[in-house]
Formats: sequence, C-alpha cells, structure tokens
Amino acid sequence: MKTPVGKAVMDCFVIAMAGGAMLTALRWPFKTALFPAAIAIPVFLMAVLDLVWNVLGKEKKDREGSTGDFKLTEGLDPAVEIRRTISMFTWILAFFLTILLVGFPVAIPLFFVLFLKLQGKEGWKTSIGLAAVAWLSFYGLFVWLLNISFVEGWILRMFLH
Amino acid sequence: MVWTIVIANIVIVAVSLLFINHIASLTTIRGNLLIPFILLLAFIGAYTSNHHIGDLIVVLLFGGFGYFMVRFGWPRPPFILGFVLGELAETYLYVSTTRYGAAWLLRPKVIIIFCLAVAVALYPFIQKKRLMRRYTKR
Repeated sequence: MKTPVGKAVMDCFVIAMAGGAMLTALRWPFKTALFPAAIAIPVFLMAVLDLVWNVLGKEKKDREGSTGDFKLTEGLDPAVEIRRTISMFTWILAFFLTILLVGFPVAIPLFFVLFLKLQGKEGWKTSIGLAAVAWLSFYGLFVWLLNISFVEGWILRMFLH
Repeated sequence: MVWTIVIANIVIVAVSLLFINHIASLTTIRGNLLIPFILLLAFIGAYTSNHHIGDLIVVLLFGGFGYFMVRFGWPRPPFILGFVLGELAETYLYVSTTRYGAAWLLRPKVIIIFCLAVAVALYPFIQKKRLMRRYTKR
C-alpha cells in the first residue's frame, strides 16, 4: 500500500480538503476568511508541490531517514499488513458502536473481554481480570470520583425509558 | 494560580522519577494487552471534553486520517501543533489585521520572526544539500 499511487491519493485528498476550505473561505467576508484562507492556501500549494514531487519520483529519496516520527513496522508481508490493519480498524469501530448501543459502563467490560480473548488470545482469567480492572478504574475515577455522567446507549435508553 | 501549577509540576516530576523504572517497564508489555486500555483512554478523553458522542466520531475520523498520514509519510507533529496553536494564531491574526491592516507584516519584529521561521523550515534541506555536496566531493 505504501506506493507512489497511495501517496498521490493522500496528496489529492489533502488538495481537495484545502481547495474546498479555500473556495469556501473566499466567499466569506474578508475578516472571517482571513485565517482559513491563510491556512488553506499554503496547505493547498504545498500539497500540490508534494504531488508534483511524487509524480517526478523525488519524494522518497528526500524523506528517507529525515524524520524521527513514529514509523510502521517495515518488511511485513503486504497481505498480513492489510489484514492486521483491517482487523484493528474493525475492533475500534466495534468498540465505538458498542458504546453507542449500550453505553460506556457495559461496552468497556464487553470490549475488553472480547478483544483480549479473540484478538489477544489471552486466557479467561487475564481477560476477565483486566476487564474488571478497566471497569473499576473507569467507574471509580470518572463516575464515582469525578461525577461525570456517561450516555446510556441506544438499547439501554429504549428499555429504561 | 501560577504557583499551584509550579508546585503541581514539581510533585509530578518527583513522583515520575520515583516510579521511572516501573513506567519504563510499560514498554515491555505486549501490544494486545495495551491496546484496549489506550483505546479506552482515547475514547473517554474525547467524550469528557464535551460530553457528546460526536467527539467519538471525531476521534475515529482523525484516527483514520492520522493512520494514513503515517502510512504515506506526512509528518503529524506540525498538524498537532497547528491544532493546538490554531486558536491563538487566529485570534492574534485577527487582532493585528484589525488594528494595523497589512502594515503589521512590515514591522521589524514580525520580519525577524518570519525570517527565523523560514530559516528553521529550510535548515534541514540546506543541511542535507551541504552534506550531499561534501559527500560527493570525497
């Protein structure tokens, strides 16, 4: 997936975002448009420059070893890489949907047990133990101590109200 | 207020130094055990800022965007800095423009800061060029 085509797609996405912001801002009154335009115009130009560098094949040479930023594991089989990425995105999305449906207090232990058991291949003791630790920390700190109210979730709201 | 922050920072540094070995050993924990806790903290952190489920959607969208930024070599620190400093920059850009128009761009301190910013931004490229030139001479 780390191909010039992928990078070009990313460039095009940023160009579209910055271009959209620029066009929208230019329709606003001057003072309102000032900051959005001051950000969007340079971003647009730099993304276009990056795309041109990509197309000319200069991008990779320039960036190698130039950054101390976080890097993904290299040298993995692309199929494994894609499978792992999709798997993690699915888990994150599943956690979000569980929160939406049943709320934080139920979603947390459910997600912990399922994730640790199915993805982490951990034993029942570890899975349930860590789920209990997570739930107690969540409830103790955020609900009991800080008194923060969390959403009930669509399913629970349907049954309770 | 300032002293509260100062004292809080000193206490935090002392506590961190006390537990530094235990904190460092967190890096040896398997990813599968850490992931759910990190996800939980990210979601709770986002939710508690406004108590709105929409913030979780923002986390998902920007998480996805951050992944693709890493994937395709777009550095994220400038993006985060922009997010953090954006509000301040917008306020003072508006104030400066309202007060001085475009003339604030020609004030000496602004020119010096702008030159410094350009120099800092260009320095890695200049350094790389110099190193390459030195390397090719040998």
